Amino acid sequence: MIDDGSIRAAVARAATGDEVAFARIVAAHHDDMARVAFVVCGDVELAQEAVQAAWPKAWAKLGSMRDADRLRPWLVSIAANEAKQLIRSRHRRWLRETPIEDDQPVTPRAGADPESRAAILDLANALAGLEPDDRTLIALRYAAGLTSDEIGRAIGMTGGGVRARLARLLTRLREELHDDEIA
Amino acid sequence: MTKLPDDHIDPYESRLTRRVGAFAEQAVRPIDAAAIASAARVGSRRQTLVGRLFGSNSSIGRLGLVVAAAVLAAGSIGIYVGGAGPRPTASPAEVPISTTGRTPDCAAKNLSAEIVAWEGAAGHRIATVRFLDLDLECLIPAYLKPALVDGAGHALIVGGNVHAAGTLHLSIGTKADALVDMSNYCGPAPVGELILRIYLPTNDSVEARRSANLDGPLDAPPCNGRTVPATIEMQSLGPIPGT
Repeated sequence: MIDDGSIRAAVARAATGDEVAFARIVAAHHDDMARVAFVVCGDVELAQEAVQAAWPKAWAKLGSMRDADRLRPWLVSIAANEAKQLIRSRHRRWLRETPIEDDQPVTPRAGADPESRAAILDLANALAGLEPDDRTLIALRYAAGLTSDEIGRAIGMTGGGVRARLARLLTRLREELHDDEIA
Repeated sequence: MTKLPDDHIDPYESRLTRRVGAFAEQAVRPIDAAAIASAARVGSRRQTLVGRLFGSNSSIGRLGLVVAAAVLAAGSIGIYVGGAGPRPTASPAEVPISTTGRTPDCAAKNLSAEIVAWEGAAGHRIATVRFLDLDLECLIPAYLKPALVDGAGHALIVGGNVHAAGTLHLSIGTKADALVDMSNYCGPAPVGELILRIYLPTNDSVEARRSANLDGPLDAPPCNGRTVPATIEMQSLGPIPGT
């Protein structure tokens, strides 16, 4: 991770065509973009493809970036849009509904995250039931950690509108994921 | 892990952030930032040119962009080839480079497959099938048609045909795995131990049997109703890092 001052300098240099500076931006933000794209499209390879397609657009438009503090929200929203476009163009669908019984033994996939495979499938199924625009909201908020105002700027909504829509999505996901207990 | 922003909406957000964060972590792969930056520079120019010629949203434009990025980056990052078009990825350890188009398709004789996990879920069974490339650098589609077959060779559930959507490039000795999700088998009791048959584009198939390390029965997915068809579907095949 590079600090804010360094990233501002990298943005300024990259905007003038400095490829090395742009590579620093790639190194700092590629993973976040992949996470967001994956939550939107549900396919690792498609998510990587979305991010690969996002970088040339970022290169082309970096010069119009007036506030380096908004770089990260801007980049992850480009990745989210690319993922949505790829879904449309490929007519991809998500994992089919796969309810998991609480009392059934499940084991985490080797090399995967601490979340069990059942929990991951549950979330994948719940996300699959959402519209791409709603998955984008979830991705920008909970995979990228953007504020509602940042999301609003990225997708053309007010911060209040984003919060209202997220509140409805939270209710729905909590119910579908049986997350009644608040951690 | 993602940090929840300060403008909290609901107490449930912290829990969902953890869940989404763990889920999204699957998408993170090693990258070569310099190669991606170079590809972006070239891709941006290509995109602008093709956009002027064909319109900014044309598939030709996208293809040109990805091809340009792939060609430039081929020296340092892996590439998925085939299927719906070049599919750049960013992990040289996982996907060796192929830009020639002459790499043969993987045939059954070049692969072994085994079932390394068989998990129960409500109305479903989820198997993990692991492929091993035995003796040939070859290409295998990321999505394959599976069938659940019993020990007597009866096909209990047969998957639908799959569309081309990316290809993995397997080197000799590398492994890749995929989840196979099955549901609602209402037919006659299977004979003998179940296996999974995976159909290859070479018009043959590879059969995955229980791994020696796998305990417990390989039972068919339970019947949830005869009016609903049984299903079997293989999820995306993914390389196993370090193999």
